Amino acid sequence: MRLLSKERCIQTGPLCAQGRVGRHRPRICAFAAVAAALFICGRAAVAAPATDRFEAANRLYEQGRFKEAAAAYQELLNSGFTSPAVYFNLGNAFFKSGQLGAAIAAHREAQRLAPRDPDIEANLRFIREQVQGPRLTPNLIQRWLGRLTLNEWTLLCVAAFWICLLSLAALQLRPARKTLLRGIALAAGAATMVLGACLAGAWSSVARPVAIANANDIAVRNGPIEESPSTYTVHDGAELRVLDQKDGWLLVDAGLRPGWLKREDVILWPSGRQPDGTRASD
Amino acid sequence: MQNSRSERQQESREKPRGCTGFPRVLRPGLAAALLLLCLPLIAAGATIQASLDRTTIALGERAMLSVRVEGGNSDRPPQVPAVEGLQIVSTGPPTFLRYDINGQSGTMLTYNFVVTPTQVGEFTIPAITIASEGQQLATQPLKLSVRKPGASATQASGQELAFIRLYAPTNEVYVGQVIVAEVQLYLHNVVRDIGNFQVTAFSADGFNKGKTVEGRQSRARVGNSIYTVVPLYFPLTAIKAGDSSLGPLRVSFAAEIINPARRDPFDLLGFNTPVEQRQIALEAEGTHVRILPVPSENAPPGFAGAVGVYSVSMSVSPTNVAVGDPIRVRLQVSGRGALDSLTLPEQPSWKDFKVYPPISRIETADPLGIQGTKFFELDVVPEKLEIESLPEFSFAWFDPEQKAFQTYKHPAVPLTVRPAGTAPLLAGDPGEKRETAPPPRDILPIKQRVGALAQARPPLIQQPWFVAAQSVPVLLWIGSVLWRRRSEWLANNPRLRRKRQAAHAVRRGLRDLRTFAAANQSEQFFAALFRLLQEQLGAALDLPASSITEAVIDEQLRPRNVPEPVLAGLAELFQACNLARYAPAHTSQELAAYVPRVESLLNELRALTA
Repeated sequence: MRLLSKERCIQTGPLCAQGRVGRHRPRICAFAAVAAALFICGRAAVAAPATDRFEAANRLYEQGRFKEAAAAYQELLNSGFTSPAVYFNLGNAFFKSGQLGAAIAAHREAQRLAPRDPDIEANLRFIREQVQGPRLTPNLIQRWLGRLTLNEWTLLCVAAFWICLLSLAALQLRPARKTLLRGIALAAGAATMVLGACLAGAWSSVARPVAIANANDIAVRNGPIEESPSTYTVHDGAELRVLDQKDGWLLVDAGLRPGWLKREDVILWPSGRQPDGTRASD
Repeated sequence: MQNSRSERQQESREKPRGCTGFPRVLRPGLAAALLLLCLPLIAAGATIQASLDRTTIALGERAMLSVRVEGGNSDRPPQVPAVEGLQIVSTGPPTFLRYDINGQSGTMLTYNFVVTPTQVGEFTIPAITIASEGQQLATQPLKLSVRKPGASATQASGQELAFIRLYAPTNEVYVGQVIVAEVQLYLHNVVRDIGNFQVTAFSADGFNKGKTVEGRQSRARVGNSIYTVVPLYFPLTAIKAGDSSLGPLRVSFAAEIINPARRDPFDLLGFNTPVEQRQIALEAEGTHVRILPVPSENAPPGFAGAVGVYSVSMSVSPTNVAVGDPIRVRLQVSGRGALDSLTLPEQPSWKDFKVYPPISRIETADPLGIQGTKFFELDVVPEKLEIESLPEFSFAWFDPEQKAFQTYKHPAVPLTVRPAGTAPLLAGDPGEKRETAPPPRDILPIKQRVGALAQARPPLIQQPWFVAAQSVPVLLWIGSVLWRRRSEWLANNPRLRRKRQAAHAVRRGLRDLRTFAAANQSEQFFAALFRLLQEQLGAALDLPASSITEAVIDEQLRPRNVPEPVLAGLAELFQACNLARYAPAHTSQELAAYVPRVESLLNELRALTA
């Protein structure tokens, strides 16, 4: 009995010294294969109708039925699916139907998901050029941080953090490798701090919402009441930094001077984010 | 008068000081060498700027004119036109400065000239020109007021520690006009430093005072003394017509005065300059100024109250629009005046357009904020398809120097207005002159592949499982530290380590005993039992395991008051082990019966030693 187990262990490799894993290995492999197949089929089965709906919306767009196409893309997004291509096409449909603000919001969302997509960048630039009046321009640091998504910054930072702490743990277990492990830990620690700062910067740029004017000739007033005199006017598509909110009014700034406008006249980006920076679901 | 002449003679003797050591013939060569040095460093966009260290001086004093050329490529010094009543003499070769600030590098050449007035009056130094890379650069004209000595204050003798002079640039101003009153604070050479400077009183009825700015200090000779002249500029905007006076002006400050009489007797080498503190209060007499209203007759229709010396330019784009599309009108008003309060007049001829309020910003060219450019941007939206042009634009202002109204008129701009929702004509549009490459005319087409679809989720950093997962490396690290500490602790405590090893050996031995009993291996069973007893007793008595025999019961355990039943049990086990060496035959059940007894005995031994 013992010899038999040993032989089996030798046959199945060193990972199963007791023979138990080796004995069950075919079953585990089969289970993993079935699970993987189910996962892939499940995803395909779920994605298939979504792809059909995407293509149907594309057909509406090609027929020049831009508003209907926008509604179809919107419906696809409301069903819980998201992809940069859907937001990109939605932005195009909004633009073609004359809604500059909504188009910019959709393209910004697409850019958030795929920050290095040149098509999105080109379209966003083109649409912004059509916007009249004051607009918000990101600074150099914001543009540089925007080259990666928030998740990419997070993963980079976390990877450096893990490497740092695992090196420190290995340093305790293998003191003989002190020089190498300490070097790795120091480098990874420094990388963690730098990447953490980048992550904080990237987070802060998406944490504060941007108000995108969704109507033409929105009066920006001195105070959050209708009777307050208009300071200046912003046009559809103008991007404004949100500073404060009060009773359905938002205090915005577009580089000129702060002023108040109605919440209902703008789209807040990122979608679902409250004017104070929290998410609607928080 | 005699004194004034002697001062001028003294100044004329001082003139060549700036170029001492450089023969006249070598000066152009030196200047050319400096220019050649900076040639490769010079950027394409050159600028020239001229400034006077003071705008008002008394006859007999000198002003310093500086011409600064930034960037550019010029091999000749600037040409300063002759001005009747002023002698303008170069101080020598220019000073060359290469700078690199925040990654922006460039070069700067500064030419200095001494301006000596020969008569009282208001002078204008015309534009100073310099040739650079085929371009003719020119400065703004500069104004210099030359007053009679002692015109605004008591004649200074050169014995005063300090005195001030107040100059008003003119005695007649118009409502809305901005003038700059200049106060010159003269500090004697013995005044080493001043502090806590305060303008205690400055009467200027009918004027709005702006921000006070300190000018560049200079040196002047008064009598036989050298004074440091600190100019202070007060921008004033006339707001009310009538007779007014500028001043009197009172200032006070604490001065540190060099007083050789107070020298420290122990400071033989003169390391410490003897100074004394003194509070000084000064007063300058006021001057009468008449504030005139802006004439109401002949005021052009586009006049909205602007007073100053201005030049205006305007641009309109795009000119090919749909009904309802905005047209951006950009207007630049450059010059000198109250730029803050400058507003655009309404244009009655633009009634077919919806005109939005303009957005404006100011770029000042001087620290006083009265010279610069105000940029207006306003959107006008054609509301009719029949519109063919943006009508004439007019902007009028009152020029206080010319004492006349000036009007800028921009002719009507032809427009192509098409119905709303139609695309602009892109080719052959005569109205639009395209100077740069045309921008993309439409957005890029939609994407045909949906790509990787994913469920919309918040970012990783907001997902609890992801945040919780970050505790794994922390826990691993903490675990490794604890493991290391435990290893080190055990390494430093051999008795405890031995006890732990013995406990481990006992656990393993008991397991082996059961195995051997089940296999009916009597010999191995008792050998293991003997080793077990040796390990446990050795650890308990801190003796080598190999030295433990039955004799240890009487020699070591009994003196320690171990209970008699335990000792009897141990003796029985030792005897059984000895017996088994000679008669090993035992049944499996007999062997198995030993195991609980051994276990109980070992537990009692462990309890005793603990």
